[in-house]
Amino acid sequence: MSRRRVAAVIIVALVAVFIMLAFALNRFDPNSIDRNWTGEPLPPCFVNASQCYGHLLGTDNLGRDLLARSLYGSANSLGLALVALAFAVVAGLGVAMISRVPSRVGGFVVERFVAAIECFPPFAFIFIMIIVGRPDRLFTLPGIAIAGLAGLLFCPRIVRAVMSVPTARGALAVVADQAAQALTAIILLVATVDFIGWGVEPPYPSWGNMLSDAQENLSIAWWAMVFPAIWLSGALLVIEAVRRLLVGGSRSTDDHGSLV
Amino acid sequence: MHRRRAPMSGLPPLNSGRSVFVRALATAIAIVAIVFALTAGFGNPSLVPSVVFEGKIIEIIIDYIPPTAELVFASFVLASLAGFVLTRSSARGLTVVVSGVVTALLSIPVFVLAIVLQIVLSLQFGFGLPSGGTCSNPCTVGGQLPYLILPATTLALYQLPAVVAFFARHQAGVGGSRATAASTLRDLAVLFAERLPDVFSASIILEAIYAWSGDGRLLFEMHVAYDADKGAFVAYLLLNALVLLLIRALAELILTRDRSGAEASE
Repeated sequence: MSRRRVAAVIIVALVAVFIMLAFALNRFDPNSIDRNWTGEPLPPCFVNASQCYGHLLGTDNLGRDLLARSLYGSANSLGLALVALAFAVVAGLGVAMISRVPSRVGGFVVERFVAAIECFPPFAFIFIMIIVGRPDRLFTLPGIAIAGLAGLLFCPRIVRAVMSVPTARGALAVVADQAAQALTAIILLVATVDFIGWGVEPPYPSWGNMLSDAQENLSIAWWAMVFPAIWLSGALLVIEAVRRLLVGGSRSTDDHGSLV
Repeated sequence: MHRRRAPMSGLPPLNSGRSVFVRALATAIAIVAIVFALTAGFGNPSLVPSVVFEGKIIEIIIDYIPPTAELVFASFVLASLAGFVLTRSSARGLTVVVSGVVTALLSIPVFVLAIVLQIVLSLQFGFGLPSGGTCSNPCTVGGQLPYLILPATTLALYQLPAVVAFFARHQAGVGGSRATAASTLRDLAVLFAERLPDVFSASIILEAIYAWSGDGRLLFEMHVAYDADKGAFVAYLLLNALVLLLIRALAELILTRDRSGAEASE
């Protein structure tokens, strides 16, 4: 095993240990309100040990433990992003298979489909699709709807990755690389949708809705925004670091194909 | 002697302006088909009267485009300048610092960046910048500038990692040959055209946070009365996707012309 792969495995192992340790230290339910809460967020223990009442990272504006909410919020946000990624990979591979059918018309249609999806502003696309479909028929489960729509938006990356290499073996590595890059983009997109209140339904925590709640009380409880932001950014940094170690190189930002 | 630059990786052969036109037209048809397939049964969006804004929705959306265009353009300029300076700094031994800045920016959501900048540069430390809004009529360029600084800076920071990577590649030389200033500007324009849907997406949330009265804020205002204006949302999505397609098609035409010129001079 190469040094880079060993380093990637070590990072993943460290993250796993960190998460297990955090779960072991956590003594609170993410949705229960502390009985000592008097209307103002409780501070973290390192800020005021006598007023934290055992909440290591403090509480949010409703007196709910931030460590517990960050942990469960991470699970919700990452889970949603992974479901979206699965949609993207399955849809991308399916579309790429269709494009391999020896028909010029089929290939042209697939290309236009991919190019059309790339023209939609991702956030506006998801926002509008949910607004238009929400009331009764299309989307009874906003989480699944968001994952499906995000999957649709990111499937062009997988399609282009598959089509850029002739062999299945080579395609696997490229698809894995693109999937890792798409995962970070999907996490950010899902967090943004959550931030405006359309993703994970409260009181269930997610990175986006925790940051949105914290925004209102930022002047008196900075920790309610800083810690979820650190969890979110930390997750993105770990994914990017592991990707770079396994695949090497940096993000391809100007390897554009046809723009239209 | 003229040295031809190697094409950027992954670029398919482009034969003529007509092929771009045909592809753009087919893509536009695909955009319309996708929107209607996903929003089937929600009304004809073309020029539908808006209940909320008491006017034709297409005209209203077009009215809101200039402030967004202003914001996006200002952010492009800022990102280009900052990217150029950072890449130069990187070449002078500040690689670790530049790499750290870029990696940090990649991992921060744009709305967090907006809130932090709003607090640091406007609310908490009072640098004299308004925390949001746009200047009221009559509005001069000087009057508008303070309102533009925060949203444009945030949007520029959002684009900075891609721009730094772009300049780093150009500094190293693409395909073994050094880039000229003109070709760098052209490729930069193409990069921005490619990233425009993402940037526009980020500008929507920024316009909501900074109360910038552009296309993004219109979306949130439409949301207030969404039951009445479903057709307006469909029109909004269609129009924005088609405008972005048009800009990308123009960028590709520039690329095609440049490539044809290079081939002719060979």
